[in-house]
Amino acid sequence: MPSTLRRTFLGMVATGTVASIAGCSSSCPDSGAPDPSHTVEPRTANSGFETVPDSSWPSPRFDAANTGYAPVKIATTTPSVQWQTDISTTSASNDTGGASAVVVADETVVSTMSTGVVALSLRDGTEQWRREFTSATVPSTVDIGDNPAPPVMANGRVYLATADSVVALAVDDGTVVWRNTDVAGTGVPVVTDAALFVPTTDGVARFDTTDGHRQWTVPADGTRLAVADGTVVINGEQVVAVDADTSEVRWRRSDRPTGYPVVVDRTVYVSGSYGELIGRSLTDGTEQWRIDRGRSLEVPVVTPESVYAIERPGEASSATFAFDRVDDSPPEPRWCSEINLGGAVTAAADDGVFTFQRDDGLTAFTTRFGEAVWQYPAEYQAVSLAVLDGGIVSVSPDGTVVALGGE
Amino acid sequence: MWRRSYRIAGPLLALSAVCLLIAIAPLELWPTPRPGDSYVFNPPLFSGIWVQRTLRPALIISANALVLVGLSAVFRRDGASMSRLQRVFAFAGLVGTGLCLLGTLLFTTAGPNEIGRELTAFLIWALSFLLIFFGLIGWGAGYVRSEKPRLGAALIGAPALTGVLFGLSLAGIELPSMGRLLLIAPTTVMTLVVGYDLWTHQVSDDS
Repeated sequence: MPSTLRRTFLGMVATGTVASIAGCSSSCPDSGAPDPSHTVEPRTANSGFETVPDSSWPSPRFDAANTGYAPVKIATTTPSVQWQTDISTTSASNDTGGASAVVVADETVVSTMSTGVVALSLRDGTEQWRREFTSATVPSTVDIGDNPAPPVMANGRVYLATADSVVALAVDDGTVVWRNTDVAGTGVPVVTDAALFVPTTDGVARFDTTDGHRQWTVPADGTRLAVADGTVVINGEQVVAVDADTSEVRWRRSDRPTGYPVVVDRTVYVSGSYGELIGRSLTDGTEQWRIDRGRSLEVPVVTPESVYAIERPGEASSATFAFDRVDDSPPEPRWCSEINLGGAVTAAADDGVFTFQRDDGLTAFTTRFGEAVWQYPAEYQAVSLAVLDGGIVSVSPDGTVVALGGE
Repeated sequence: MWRRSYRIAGPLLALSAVCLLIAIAPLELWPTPRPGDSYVFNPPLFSGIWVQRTLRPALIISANALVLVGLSAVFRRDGASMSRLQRVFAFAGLVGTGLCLLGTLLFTTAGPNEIGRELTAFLIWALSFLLIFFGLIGWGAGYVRSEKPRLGAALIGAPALTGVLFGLSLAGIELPSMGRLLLIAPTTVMTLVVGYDLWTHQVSDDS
């Protein structure tokens, strides 16, 4: 059985077991879905941003550490749809494999489909270019199944893990800057100022961003990485920490992690398959704290003061939880809000926390006390959110990309 | 000594009226965060959520306890001069008020998922409302027939008017926007009238 399938299966078994023990209900005392002050009209799209958001979301979880937090302000309490584009039908390709998380930089929105990569104008969503590749796939962080591995962007380039290579494209026109066909990509790339790190068929590999030559490979089976403070943290069958310069393995722990590892202030945040959220020292992997409520805490977003996560009890309503970060101790719950059944994705800015969930759509909460400010009742579940200075871009599994912002 | 304690019960009843008025003040008047979208684990003092979760139950329990103390003082003061039937009604009214306090304590201290405790509280409330309704009306009627019609009218008016308003509400007739104030107004007026009576009338007046 392929490792991703086995992990998905084990994750399902673990979640089901935990849910049956926990009584299938969220630990949030809140009752009822939030009632936001403003509802975004879903089918009314403007012609685009009057002022293009002046920031980027260059990785699926914003940065190489996967914090999911952009230090910007949305600065509106009554957003509207600025543009909407279906990237699965904007060209003649027979693309039916779903869309990856979006990344945004240089006023360009980029997403991968199973058969290629698409770039849109951030201003109005028009297609800039499209290149055909067979994308690598990774297990979904939201639901069961696989999605195309999302790209990452840095220094005017788009980096991709494909089924037969690792590729760098120019953001401007999509031309291939370099392509390394020594290995095939198997996960989500991470780019830093120093190098590109990609899960490959040989293990996790480091590439030179200028010409794509492979610098080292460490045998590890992870599909999602975080890079921070000179360390690569790999989420696979185990959590493995590797020296980013030498590839020396520093520590490994059997946490059976899911989703992205998050590294903030030398603490690694790991969502375990059995529902716990664990904080480990980046230095030596020792456990600093653990939140184990018998229900899975997923998709952690870590800001300088807070941790946000989705509690999924299995067969009952989920809940968005906000925790206060405490030095060397488990984060303490600050607020929670019940949301409907199903997976969710989250992201945060300085003035809001965003939860995209199947039945409720996108809900924006205030960070301090979780007051629902606005809601975008989309008819789909998002794969990811990109939070910008004055706007949000989301993409659905079928390739509908929506930009919200303005008044 | 007992006469002094009757007098002290007067201001205590006035205090219960103040507690009730603060308790029913709309949460929109208090600072944010207010109840609604999320459960806040440690709300700031005097915020709408803190008032709803901490202050309001404390005020309702206090008001309830103070009313019980005040009515008990009236009963002790006037018990000797009451007819046997009036004493029975007065005792029923006091038991009802005590049960109401017990129900309130049970309800306000119940956790989010303690449905059994909440159900018990509702049953106790239902019994207490019956006892209060008939007890206070019967007790007040005795005063109306004697030389204390104002005290009697207050004791009759509070349960009667509250019952009428409650009945209208149950029948689907919408109360005005200040409906909650209207609902507690009879009780508030009763506590003020009974408190004033305790403060100004000595037991020797009736004996």
